[in-house]
Amino acid sequence: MKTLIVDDSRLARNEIKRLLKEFDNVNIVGEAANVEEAIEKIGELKPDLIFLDIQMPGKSGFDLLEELESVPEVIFSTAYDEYALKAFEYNALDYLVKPVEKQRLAGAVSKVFDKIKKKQLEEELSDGSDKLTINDQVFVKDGESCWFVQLSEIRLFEVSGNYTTVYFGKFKPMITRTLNYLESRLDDKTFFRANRQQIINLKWIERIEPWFSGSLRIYLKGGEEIDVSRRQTLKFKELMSF
Amino acid sequence: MLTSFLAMVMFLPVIPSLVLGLITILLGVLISHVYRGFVKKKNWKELKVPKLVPKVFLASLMQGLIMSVLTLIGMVGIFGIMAASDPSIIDALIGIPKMDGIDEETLAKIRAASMNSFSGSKLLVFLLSFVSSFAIYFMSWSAIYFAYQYLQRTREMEIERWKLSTSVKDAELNALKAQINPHFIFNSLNNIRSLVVEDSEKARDSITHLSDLLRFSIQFDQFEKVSLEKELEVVRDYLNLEAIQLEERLNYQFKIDQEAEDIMIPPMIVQTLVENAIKHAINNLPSGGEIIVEAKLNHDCAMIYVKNTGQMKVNGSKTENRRGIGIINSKERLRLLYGEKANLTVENMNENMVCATVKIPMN
Repeated sequence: MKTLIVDDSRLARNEIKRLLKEFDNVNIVGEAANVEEAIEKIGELKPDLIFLDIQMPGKSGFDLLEELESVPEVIFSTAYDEYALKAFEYNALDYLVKPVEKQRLAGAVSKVFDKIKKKQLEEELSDGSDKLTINDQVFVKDGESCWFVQLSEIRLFEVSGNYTTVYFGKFKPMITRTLNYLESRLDDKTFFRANRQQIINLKWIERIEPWFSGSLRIYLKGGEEIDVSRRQTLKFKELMSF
Repeated sequence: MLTSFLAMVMFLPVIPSLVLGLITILLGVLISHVYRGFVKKKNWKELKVPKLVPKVFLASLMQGLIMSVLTLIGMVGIFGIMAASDPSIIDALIGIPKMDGIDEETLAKIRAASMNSFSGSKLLVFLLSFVSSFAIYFMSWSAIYFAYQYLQRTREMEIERWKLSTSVKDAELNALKAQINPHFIFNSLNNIRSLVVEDSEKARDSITHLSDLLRFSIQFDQFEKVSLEKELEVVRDYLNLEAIQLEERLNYQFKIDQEAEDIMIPPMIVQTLVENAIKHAINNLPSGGEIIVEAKLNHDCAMIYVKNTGQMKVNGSKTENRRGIGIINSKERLRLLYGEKANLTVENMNENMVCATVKIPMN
């Protein structure tokens, strides 16, 4: 696992490096002392895993994740901040409190290792384009709440003003990216632009009905009803036929 | 007033005596009002009781005298007017009841005898009794007035004392929050753990600093004031620990005049300022900055400066709020302990430094 360590304190970075020495599957490729440096290193080194301190000068660890398009696996490290960690309600996440206990670290590392191995297997099956696939995860923050969401869990992207609403589980948080940008980044084998307002995940379709003047209505498993524009209906049929 | 009123009723018909009574009451109110103004101007309520009593006594006599003279003038005036229209009033005044079957000659004799009884000494006694009866009223008025003032003052002092103790408690609480700030503690411990491998000597020092800091923040509520020297020890411990976290991002120096070290200051005042400098300035500067703590003695006051790299954001009135509770609390504590003679200001010193200034008066 290519691993990046992000912490503003040099001593803290050294400490985690010393602790990680004993793990053969962890390969530390770099370290960063602040968010700007981390973004640069992540773009350059493409780590599988980052150890991320939450409180850092200027921008926080959450700010870093918000700026990333696709988020590697993250193990948070924090001196003490219950409040920030409570923000995560959706999926269990791994975090370590400093000073780090070796056994907890081992647990977190092995969990992440399994997850990454699985992901790599699935990726070998894909064609290796640089688009976001269903195995990629994104970081979504909406007000007080945060989520790591796998793209496979997302049913629908929908325009709301200058933002885009993301539908997954029972949540509908908003993100700042535009629908056009998302369309250009998302893998078009899975994600389909149904009309001007919506991009749907084909894996979440429950049933399809013919609608007025040759268009289609799609019912998603989450209960949403999507009207496919006439132009996109043609594309959709093309996509679905052999 | 009541006695003189009764006396008048003896001699006068009802309506004039009522009018006279009313006039006396008004005069009394007027005189006591002027007296109150005088008392306020001379600030008598600040006086201690033994000093106040003779003054109040004399003042009451004076007021009684003025009151008597004015009342007598009024009475003589009214009697004059009434006597002009009805001479028999004079008889009533000198105590001759209306009698039938007495000829003019006998009546004249009785009048002469009656007038003779109004000797000089009797008139004096009459006047004195007038003065003293009024004086007693004024004295009781003063007693009530000053009792009320004292009550009010003790209540105010109680409130001030209470405010001081809460603000000290607040400061303690904030200091505890800041130092036993778990984030700070655990970061320090984590750093020390790393230092154990890299520089064990420094790790040992750091443990001592952390211990001293914790000790002070647990104990400091026991003193209302500490010497600057002691306060700065804590500040040094704190900066030492922050320096292992911030490393080259934090530079600091102390410029303390020898004679300023012994001055007594409220605890945590300098510490709060230094913490603020770290939290609001150095922490947010990716390349770090400098903190300079200075103290010197002027002829009547001590000046403490905490200067740091950074700029205070000036957006209208919000500047004050941005400095945080710590500073507001310190200001309030200084005000309660020293009044207007002490102050605390935070302002931009130049384009890249902020300076917090504390002025503490020396007795």
